[in-house]
Amino acid sequence: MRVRWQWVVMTALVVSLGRTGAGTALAHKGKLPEDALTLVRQASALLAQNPGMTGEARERLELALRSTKTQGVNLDQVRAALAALDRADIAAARRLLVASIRAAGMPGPPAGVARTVPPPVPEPQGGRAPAVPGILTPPPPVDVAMKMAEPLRVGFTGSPAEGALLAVAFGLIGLGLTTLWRSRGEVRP
Amino acid sequence: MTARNDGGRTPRPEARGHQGLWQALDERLGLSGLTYPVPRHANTLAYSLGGISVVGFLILVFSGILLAQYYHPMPQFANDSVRAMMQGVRLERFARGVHYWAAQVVVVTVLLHMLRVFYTGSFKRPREANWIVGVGLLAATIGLFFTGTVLKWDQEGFEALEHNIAIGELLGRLGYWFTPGFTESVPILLRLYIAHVSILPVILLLLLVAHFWLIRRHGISPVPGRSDGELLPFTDHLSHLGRYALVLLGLVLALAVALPPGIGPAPVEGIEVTKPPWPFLPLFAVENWVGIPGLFWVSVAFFVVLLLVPLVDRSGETRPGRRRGVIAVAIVLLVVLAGLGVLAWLTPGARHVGSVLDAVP
Repeated sequence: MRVRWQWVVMTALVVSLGRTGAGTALAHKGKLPEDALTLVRQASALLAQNPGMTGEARERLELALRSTKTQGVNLDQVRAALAALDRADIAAARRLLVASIRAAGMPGPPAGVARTVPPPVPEPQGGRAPAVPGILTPPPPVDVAMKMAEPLRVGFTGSPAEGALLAVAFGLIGLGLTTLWRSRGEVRP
Repeated sequence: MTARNDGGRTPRPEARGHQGLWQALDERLGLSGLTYPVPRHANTLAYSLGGISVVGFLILVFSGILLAQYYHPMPQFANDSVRAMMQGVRLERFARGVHYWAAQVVVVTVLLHMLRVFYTGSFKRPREANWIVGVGLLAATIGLFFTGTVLKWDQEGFEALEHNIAIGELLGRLGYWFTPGFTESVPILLRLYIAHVSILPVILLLLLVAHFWLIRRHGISPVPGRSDGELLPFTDHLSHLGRYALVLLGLVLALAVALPPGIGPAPVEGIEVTKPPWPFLPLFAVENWVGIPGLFWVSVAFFVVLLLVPLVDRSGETRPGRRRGVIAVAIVLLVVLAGLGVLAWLTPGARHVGSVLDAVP
C-alpha cells in the first residue's frame, strides 16, 4: 500500500502536539497575596475593569480584613466597601476602596517583572550629569497613579474640528465609491 | 496594452501636457515597467483584498510614526503617555484612533484575503511558496497586533504580556527572548516596543517583497474555471486600488473620529480580569479548558494546518465545487473557531497565568 507522506507528517505532528501539551495542560489559579494593601489594590482594579467580578473582589477584601499585614490600609473603609458590595453599589465600593488606600496610593504600573527596571545610577561626583532623560524619573505621584487606576474613555465630542474631520472622511468614502462605480466596467471579466 | 519599456533608448516624438510629463518621467524612472499585463478580474474587490491590506499597512506606518513621537515605552510611563495622547493635542488622539482602527481593518482584510486565496485555489502549483510566504505575513500581522495590544500598558495589555511570558517560559530556551530574564537592564515592554516598531515591520517588509516578487513571477491567479480573457496594464490595477484606498482611508478616519479607542486602568499584578482582543478570543476559550500549553499548541497547530494546505490539497483543480471535501473541512474549522470566539465572549474572565506569588511557599 502506498502511504502518502503528508499524512504521515500530519499524524506525527498531531501525536507530538498531544503528548507535549497533555502533561501540563491544566489551568490553575494563583495564590492570593497576604498583605492587605495588595489585596485591596487588586480588588479595586478588578471592579474598575469589570464591575461584574464582585466575587473575586469580595474574596480579596475578606482576606484583607483577616490579614496580619494591614499597613497603609484603612480597614474601616474596607468594611464599608464590603457593605456597599452587599448593596450592589459598585461605584460606592470603589470610592471607599480608593479612599482606604489613599495614604499608600495605587502603585505605579508594574515594571513587567521584577528586576527589569534599570537600577538607579548614583549621583555624579561633579563632572557630567547622566545623559539618559526619563529613565531616572521617579514613579508617578499618588494623584496621578490614582487617576491611572481608572479606565479612560473618550468619545465623539462634536467639536468643529471633529466635524471637519468627519466631513473629510465621508468625502473620501464618497469619492472612492463614486470612482469605483464609474469604473465598474474595468472590473467585469 | 501600452508600450513596453525600452529603457529610454528609442527617440520619442515630442509630446505635450500629461503625455509629455509621463514620457519625461518614464524615460528617467522606467515607469512603463509597471504596465505589464494583469487580468481584468484583478480589479474585483475579492482579488484586491491583498492590495487593500497593503494600503492599510501604509496607514499604520504613517500613524505609527506619529504616535512614536508621543509614546513613552518605559513601564512607569507607558500608560500615562497614552492617556496624555488621548487628552492632549487632538492630532495625537486622532492618530491613535487611526492606528487602532487601521489595525482592526488590516487583520480583517488579511484574513479575508487568505480565505479568498484558499477558496479560489490560488495557492496551487506553482504558487505554493507564495502561500507559505502569505502564512508568514499573517503571523507577522498577528505579532504586530499582539505587541500593539501590550504597548498601551493597561490591564489588558499587561495580561497579554503575562501570557507572552508564560509561553516563553513554557518553551524553555526556545522562548528565552520572550521572558524578562533575557536581559536585566531593559524592561520587556521596551523590547516588545522595539519588536513592534522595527523587528516585525522589517520581517513584514521582507515577506511583502517576496510576496510581490512571486506574484509578478507567476502572475495573478485566474478565476477558477475561466481563462484570463482581456488584460489590462498593471497601472490600471494600481489606479483601481487607489479608489479602494480612498474608501478605506475614509472609513478609518470616520471610525477614528466617531469611535476613538479608550484605555483601561494602569495594570495591577496578580489579577486576570480582561479578555483578549477579538482575534485572540478563540484562543481564550481553549485556554479556559487546557491552560497556557493549550493556548500555545493550538496557535502552533493553526499555523501548521495553514502551512500544510498546499500539501494536502494538491490536485490541479481550483474550482470550489470540485473541491468539496477540502472546502467542507475549512468551513467546519471556521465554524469551530467562530464558536470558540463566541463562547469566550460569553464566558467570564478567568485566571490562567500564575503570578510571582505562586512561587512563595
